[in-house]
Amino acid sequence: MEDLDKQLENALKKDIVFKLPEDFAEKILVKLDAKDIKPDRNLFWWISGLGMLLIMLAIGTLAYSGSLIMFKSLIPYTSWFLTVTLAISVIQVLDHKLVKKHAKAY
Amino acid sequence: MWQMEDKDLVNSVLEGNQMASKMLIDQHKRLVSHVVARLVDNDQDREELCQDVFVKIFKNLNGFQFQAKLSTWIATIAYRLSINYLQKKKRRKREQNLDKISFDLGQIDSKVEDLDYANFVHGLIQQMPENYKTVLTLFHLEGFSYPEIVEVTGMPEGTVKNYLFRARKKLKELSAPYIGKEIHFV
Repeated sequence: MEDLDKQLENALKKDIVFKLPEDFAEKILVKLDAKDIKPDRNLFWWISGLGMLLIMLAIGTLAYSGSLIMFKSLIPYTSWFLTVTLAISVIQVLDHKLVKKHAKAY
Repeated sequence: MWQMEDKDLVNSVLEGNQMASKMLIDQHKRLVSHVVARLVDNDQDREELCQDVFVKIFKNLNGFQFQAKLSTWIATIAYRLSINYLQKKKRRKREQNLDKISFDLGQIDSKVEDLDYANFVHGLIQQMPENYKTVLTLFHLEGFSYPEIVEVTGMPEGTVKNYLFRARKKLKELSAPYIGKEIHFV
């Protein structure tokens, strides 16, 4: 019985036959590099969008307050600007949600 | 292979050191492959799952607070992802009573060496429910302590001890008549 205990103990300590390939670490690092690109790109677009929004807000505020006379002529077109900005945003979101997702499936 | 302390290794990886990242993978790929391979049967799925485990490790490494050993944390991720995989594929073995499982003992031939007995035992473990497989692997193959296995599996310590005891008893029971004989699983 003691012999069986010892044999079982040794058997349980033997490695499982499955082995990962030698270049496994390299594969992971490549995969991680590829994944790293995505958040950076997203971050770039978020920052760009936020920057644009801030600039537009600043221009709008200055124009309405009358501090910058050259932007005063833009006031009648405010609703046009807003509509175009909104349309572009909606197209971007739809493109991201539908078109890119659909392309990913293939 | 030269090994770094957990804290130094994690900090180097977080600083973007590629060598440290490679070292982290090389130091823990044996552990991850054992946990995954014990629970998942298909070789291709095993490799993909091991990759997913490491991607998740790197993704969450900045949240690792050293409240446990790095290997325990890594084993926890490997265990959870494997269980999720089994759930998704509907391949979980929920039967917890080993006496209700009919084990395939293979075909028994003539004389033998230790390696054949080890293969025979691994073949039996592979037919056990996942909790038994996991505790046997972590305890015997990886040398984890009871508290570490508790951390990985979320089972109470008493249950871990009980599973280990019952699994070993079953393995002895099943293998006793075949010691010294060659066994082939079909």
